[in-house]
Amino acid sequence: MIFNSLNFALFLPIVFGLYWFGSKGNLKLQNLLLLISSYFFYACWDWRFMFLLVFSTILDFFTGKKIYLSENKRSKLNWLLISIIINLGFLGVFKYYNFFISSFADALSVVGLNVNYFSIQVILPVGISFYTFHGLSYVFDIYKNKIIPEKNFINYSVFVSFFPLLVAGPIERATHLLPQITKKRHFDYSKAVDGMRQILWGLFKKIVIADNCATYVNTIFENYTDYSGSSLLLGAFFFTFQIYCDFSGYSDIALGTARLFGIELLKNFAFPYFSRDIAEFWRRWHISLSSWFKDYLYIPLGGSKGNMWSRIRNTFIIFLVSGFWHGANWTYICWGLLNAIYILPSIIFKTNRKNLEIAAKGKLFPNFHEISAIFITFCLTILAWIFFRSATVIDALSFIKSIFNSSSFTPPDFPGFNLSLKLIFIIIVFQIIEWLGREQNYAIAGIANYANRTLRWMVYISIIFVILIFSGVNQEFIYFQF
Amino acid sequence: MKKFVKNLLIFSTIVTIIFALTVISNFYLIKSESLIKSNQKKIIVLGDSNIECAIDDSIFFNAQNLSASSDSYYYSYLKIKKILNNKNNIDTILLAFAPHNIFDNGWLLSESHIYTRFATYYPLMNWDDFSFLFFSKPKAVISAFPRIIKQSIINFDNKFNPPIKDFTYGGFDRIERNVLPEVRKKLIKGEKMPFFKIPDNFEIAKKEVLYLNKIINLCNSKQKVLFLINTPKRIELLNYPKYGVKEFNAFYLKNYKSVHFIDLSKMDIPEDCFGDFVHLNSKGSKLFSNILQYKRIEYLYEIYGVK
Repeated sequence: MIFNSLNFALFLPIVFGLYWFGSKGNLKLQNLLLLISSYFFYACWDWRFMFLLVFSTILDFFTGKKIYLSENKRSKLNWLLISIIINLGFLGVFKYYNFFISSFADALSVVGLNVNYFSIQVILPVGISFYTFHGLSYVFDIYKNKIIPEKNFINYSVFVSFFPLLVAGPIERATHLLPQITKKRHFDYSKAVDGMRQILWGLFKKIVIADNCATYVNTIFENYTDYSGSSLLLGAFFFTFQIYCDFSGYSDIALGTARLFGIELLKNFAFPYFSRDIAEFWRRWHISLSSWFKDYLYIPLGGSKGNMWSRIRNTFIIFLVSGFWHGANWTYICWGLLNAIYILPSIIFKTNRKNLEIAAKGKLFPNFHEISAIFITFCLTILAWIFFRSATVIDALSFIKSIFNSSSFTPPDFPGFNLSLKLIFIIIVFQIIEWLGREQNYAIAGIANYANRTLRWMVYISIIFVILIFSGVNQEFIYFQF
Repeated sequence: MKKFVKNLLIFSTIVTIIFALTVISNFYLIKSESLIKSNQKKIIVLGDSNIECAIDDSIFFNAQNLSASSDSYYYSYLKIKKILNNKNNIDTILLAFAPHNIFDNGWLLSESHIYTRFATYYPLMNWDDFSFLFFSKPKAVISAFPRIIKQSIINFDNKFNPPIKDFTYGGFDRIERNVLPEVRKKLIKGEKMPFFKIPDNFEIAKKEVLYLNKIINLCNSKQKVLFLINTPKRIELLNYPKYGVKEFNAFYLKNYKSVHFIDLSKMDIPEDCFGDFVHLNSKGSKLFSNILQYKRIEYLYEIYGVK
């Protein structure tokens, strides 16, 4: 069941109605309903992987308790290791086994040893990277005495499998989400309206921009040898917006949906394409994952403390792991590596926390310095996304090589180029709206401040009809594959 | 909570009213339009991509090709019904008829086709046609509803800025590809072929036949001449047992012997005139359309008619 489907359009009002009207404010009933509906939501993908989800939930619930009850450090560490090994073990088998075994065989073939290896034909359970990280954050926090274990198994299960975040995040923390699940929730009119508004904006991003970009991106990336440099550049530009609107659109729908149930999820995006350097970009892109790695990997490794070399080492580790988290392919590792290289100067010169506020805060227009910094960061980001989208590293390098030749000065020539001009116009309008709303939680949150209800509704209706008119070919959310 | 539900209902009602008005106005817009743009046209060509790519109506100029890729008889029926109910000079209908039109290959009334076609074709439907589609694939029909808005905009735009050639309900499609070597290999290996799907088995697609019968009855009641036509195909495919030529001929002779059937599938057309096994390329369509133009349909029936 995907968010932009008829099934979800039926599922959501039913769960919403039962949640607020059927439960009559009974928290236990509400949480039970959320759990059942979340499991139903997940089972719609593939019911067989439900067992994996339930097993992972029981494992972390149980090991969390054991860590807390252990009297000595050694025992605590042992239980933590059991949780880490089993969780990452599942992730390893389902997501990385084939990659490691084939890479190992390739490496051996370089030295003349040809081995027959056994690869497994298994589909990746949707959301496994996300719910594994939910569970791990829970046991890490208990180990570090940040939280005490949740006593109620249903509450904990809701934390792991709450349907808006189950398959593609945001990656929640027990410290943030569990207290909301255990506390009585009251319906808040303005929050519910805000949730609906954010869902609408998420649908716009996904259906109008991401799905339309996908058509051109697929054509160009899959046949990149046939097209001119300018076409490839435009393909990379479209992918830059496809991935942003696809993933941030999903996050908007997830956050908006959760808000309808009185739950606030972690913000996942904060206008990353207005970043003035790569460090800022990573504070604004997939925030829940970046902060997860920061808290549970970067800081334990020493973070930004220590000498320059350890800072550089930690930065490279975190970016390589982050790249590898996305998928078992060298392209993701290269993408992570490239970002680490981008960020390196700011680590060396300690300028990585220079741009903490949004660009041109409180002003309508940025100054020249800001414009050029945003532009350069955006171009670097486009270059990195080429690795992310390409099938292999060789393809990515050839793609980039083809961009930097004389054919980049000829008009783009891919099928549907003239139609794509309409999409470019929509992207420009979208970016203007994002710029105007960049100081809000999401671009159109400011509509709530319009005093005139008719005007507000006209804007909403216009967005709905723009979605209907400019809808692209329905595509699955990119991050479901991770 | 009450306020939220109340406002949500009011808002949804407003959106629904705007949506309904668009659906209705688009319905009447298409209803008032004619699919036949010229009184010179006496023959209408309908069917799937085989005939869509074969007959160039700028060469075979007293015909209008309104066939469309993967059109099932359901959509052909909707078009014929509208054409024959409007005032025009159409007296003959050429309808594609080949094994893959009759044997179930699972795509003719597939959800994806309904999803992409419903918004275009609903103005041609009466209640029976709509309910047939709706009860066959309710989810696909509901999912396709929002696309009406997009289609309405296109239709209104076409009304005020008429395109040189309107492909909304089909039209001749010139193809330049030649993938014969590739599809030959796939046929030998028994692999899935591009641009065409071998029927899964020789089970009759009942819904297709139902609408084929409706087309035949409609043409009879309106006293129009209907020719079933099988366009040229590659011999490798015709000899491929799974394509079901033998079963198809038996089916025709058993059920439709009274309907004229011109089987041009084995017509002598050079290999370089084919884009693949079942589609003529631009060279082939030029040749084939000239044959149709200069030899009368009745003459072709005399030569190639299945009797």
